[in-house]
Amino acid sequence: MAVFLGLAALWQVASIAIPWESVPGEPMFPGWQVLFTQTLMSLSDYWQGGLGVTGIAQGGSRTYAGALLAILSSSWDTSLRLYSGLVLGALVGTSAGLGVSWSRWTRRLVALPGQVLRTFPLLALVPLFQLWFGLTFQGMMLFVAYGVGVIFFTGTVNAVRNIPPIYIDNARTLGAGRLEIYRSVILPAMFPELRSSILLGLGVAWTAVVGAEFLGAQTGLGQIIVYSKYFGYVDRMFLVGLILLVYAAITYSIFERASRRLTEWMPREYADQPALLATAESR
Amino acid sequence: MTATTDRSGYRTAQLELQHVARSFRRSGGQVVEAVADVSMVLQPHEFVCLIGPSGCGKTTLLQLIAGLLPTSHGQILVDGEPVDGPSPERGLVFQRDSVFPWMRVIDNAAYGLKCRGMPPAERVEIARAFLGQVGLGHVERAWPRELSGGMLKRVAVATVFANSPKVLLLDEPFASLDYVTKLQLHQVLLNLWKASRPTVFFITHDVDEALLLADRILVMKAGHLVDDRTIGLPRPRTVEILALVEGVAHKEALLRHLGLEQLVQEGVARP
Repeated sequence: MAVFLGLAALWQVASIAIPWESVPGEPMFPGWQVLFTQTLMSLSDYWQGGLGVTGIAQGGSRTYAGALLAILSSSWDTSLRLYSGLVLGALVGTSAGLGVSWSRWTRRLVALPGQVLRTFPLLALVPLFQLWFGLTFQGMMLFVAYGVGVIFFTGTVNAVRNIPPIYIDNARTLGAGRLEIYRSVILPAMFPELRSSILLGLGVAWTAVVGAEFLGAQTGLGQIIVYSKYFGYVDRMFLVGLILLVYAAITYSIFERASRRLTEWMPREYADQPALLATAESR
Repeated sequence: MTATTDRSGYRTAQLELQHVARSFRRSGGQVVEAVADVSMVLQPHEFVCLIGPSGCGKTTLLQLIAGLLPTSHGQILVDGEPVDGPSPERGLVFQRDSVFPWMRVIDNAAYGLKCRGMPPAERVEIARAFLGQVGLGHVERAWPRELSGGMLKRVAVATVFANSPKVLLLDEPFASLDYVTKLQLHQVLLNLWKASRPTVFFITHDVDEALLLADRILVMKAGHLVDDRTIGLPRPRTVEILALVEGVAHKEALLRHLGLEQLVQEGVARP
């Protein structure tokens, strides 16, 4: 917490000490007093009107209500693209990853294409997706799904490979069939190892969705950033960045909570208890 | 399956190996015969121990019987039916910890029954009964990480017995335990065996353990069986029987097989 306050203070000092402007009248380092008044208010430009608040395009004036609605509706659009892509990518990526170990045929089917797809640089594919799908919801969702999917694929293949074979042998001698082994042994045993891939996937999902919106979405948080760039509105870009930060933090904390519950069975790790590590070092 | 249950209602089976062999190709390219040519018959209810020095092919032989490895030659018959892959009829207790850490103790014990499609209430009841018999009734809701090594072995034993196998295979199950815990687990194992009488094939490198448990002791060396002796010592056996004349004679012969000739002659290894 103290760290955050320190960073915020540092930003404020920069806003006072550094007088650069991106375009005349738009400071490179807008202070908090600007961000939470003028900047916040200006986001109501992105409200199309409705719900009793007139949009700027219809001749309304800037209001906090309009700004709030603009943030909410943009966030909604972005989140929808993000989470639908995330879920789709996680499901397809994990299934394909499991397919590598399922049988010789599924391995032939998915292993090589998976490895090849994995190596394409994600952002270089943005124009391709744009040409294929235009500026549609499906296009952006699939782009996110692709970015997330390859990470889940790699993570799953690796996690399955690291499961001690004794658990699978044990399940087999107790009478478990292949489906039962995947359900009750492989899925729970690979989860701890998959955790880092999931975190990585969450990060990529945010990058991918904003990246997809850069290229001409009509709504969404990424679109606000692009629009702001044209006019040198550093303050708006920064504010949207902060909003994204808050969302990412919320997503991570929900995931952390869920994952702690799913790994309740695991031995307590040193990493969870810095005090233990400290004594180990001092010894 | 002719002898699924014998007249007394026990689930047991005859286990027969006919010229069983298994070889591996090493990474260098040369072929290693882990099991060269093993033939044997274990009668229903029999408790047989196999001893041998490490690297003699004991574990490979057990994996072949369990169906986890295919044979290179020969066949394995359970009541005359050839073995083809693992089956819950041949339960296996592993040397290393095999208890699933992501399932609570009771769910571990009930796992085999769940795989066979038994409804939850029924399988939990059976699993609970076996956990009680191995002395773990009080920790059925615990996670495996909260248990000691000896307790984990008890869970593994209860899990296998809950599945009521006809043949029970054990791969040096108690090798990692301290002496007292090991003796306690012998009692647990023998009590469960007396109650359900499956055919037992128990691998160990510990001569005393074999003498305390077995009806018959086989000795394996370099992929072959080199000795087969019936142990007539009365049951229940205590550590003292190792000092009886018959016990000493067996022990001397077995140690000689394991390569301790010199020490036996010099009297060092005498009990």
